[in-house]
Amino acid sequence: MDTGEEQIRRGVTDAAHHIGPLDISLQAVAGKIRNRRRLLGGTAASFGIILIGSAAWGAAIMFSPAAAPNVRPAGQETTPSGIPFPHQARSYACGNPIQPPVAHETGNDALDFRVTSPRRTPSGAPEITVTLTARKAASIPVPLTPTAPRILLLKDGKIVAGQDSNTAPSPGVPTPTFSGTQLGVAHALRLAPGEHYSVTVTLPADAVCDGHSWSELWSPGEKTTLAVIASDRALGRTHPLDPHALNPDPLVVQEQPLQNVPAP
Amino acid sequence: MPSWEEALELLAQGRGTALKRYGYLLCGSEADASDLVQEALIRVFARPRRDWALPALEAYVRKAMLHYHLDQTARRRRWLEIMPRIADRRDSPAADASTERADVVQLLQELSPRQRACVVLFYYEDRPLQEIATLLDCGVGTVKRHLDDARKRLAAAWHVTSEG
Repeated sequence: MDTGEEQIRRGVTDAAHHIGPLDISLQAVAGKIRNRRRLLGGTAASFGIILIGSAAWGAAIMFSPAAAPNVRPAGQETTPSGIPFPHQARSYACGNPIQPPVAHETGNDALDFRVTSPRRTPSGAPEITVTLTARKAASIPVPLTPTAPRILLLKDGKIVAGQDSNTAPSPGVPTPTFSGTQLGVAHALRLAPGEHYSVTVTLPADAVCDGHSWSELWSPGEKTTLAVIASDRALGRTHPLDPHALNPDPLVVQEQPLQNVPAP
Repeated sequence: MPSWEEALELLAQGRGTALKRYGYLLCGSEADASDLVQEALIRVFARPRRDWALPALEAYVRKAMLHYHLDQTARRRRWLEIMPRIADRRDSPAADASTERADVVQLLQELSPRQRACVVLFYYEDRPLQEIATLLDCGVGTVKRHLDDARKRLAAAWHVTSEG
């Protein structure tokens, strides 16, 4: 090592060691972290809702004709806003239930989340429109390449129909519409209060499980649940969902009867 | 496994000073160093993580500090470029080169942000060249060039002969 290098090393070390201890308010930092985590969580909720067309969903929207059961497991970790943490790899095979936990959610402070009543298409498969309306100014990230969400129909809590958005998005390609301002190249939408973003999805005609039919599922009196499921990759997560991980995605649930609403 | 709040407290109490010193060498001001540490802590702890072990967290925070600092300096430079009539183009006051023992931090500020980062990472953090290259998302040759340029400029200011 030459003299110059020694001098540089000594110089930077001496300079650094004259510095006093870190003088920040940990309480303030923790508060800002909580705010940002809450913001990320809120974004996650709206993101999951918005990204119906994404292959990466973290939210589930459930419709049920029965009184809303409390699907929130006791003792489940919750976010500050009370949304449970669903953090697990999920399997959606025919005949299986959706693994808990799930939560009831109709949006957050900034966004109102509504699923308009499903419409029965000529094939018998349901068409669902999800609309996000801004309660106050909001910026919503959207996928660059929209694909169909994973939509499931459940009977007695078990999957009886659905499509896998991750592998077979077509033909349920969502058709997003919005009244806000598009930012950049479809990376985000800015919604003013009252403006909305909505996505319409139609299940493929052959999305019903063996042993079931669309007619059966639409029959009056049938207690059929519709769920829109998301993975967590929309949030940039690259590792599998983990039930013990911190700050997981909220699982959004909305319940309403599966009743055909004729197109206007 | 500690909660993020516990991890934050442990990291700030145990490694806060070291982080601030690192930030000071990067940005040249105690106040800016504290702000840099604070912003990096917020960025690191706001993200979901499975591992809140302190060594990994400190590495995340240092990396966040480096990138945030480089981003900020690049942003400030762009701003200064488009506001030549209003703002001073210099990021910091010039060092008094005639003074043999010029303040080392002031001299560091005379370097480009990436040269400075290389100097801090190599001479203060004792990071290998390959690791510095990875952190800065550049080649080892680029790191060597930055270090060489920095050495020459610092040596000139210190009136020492720079070799290698």
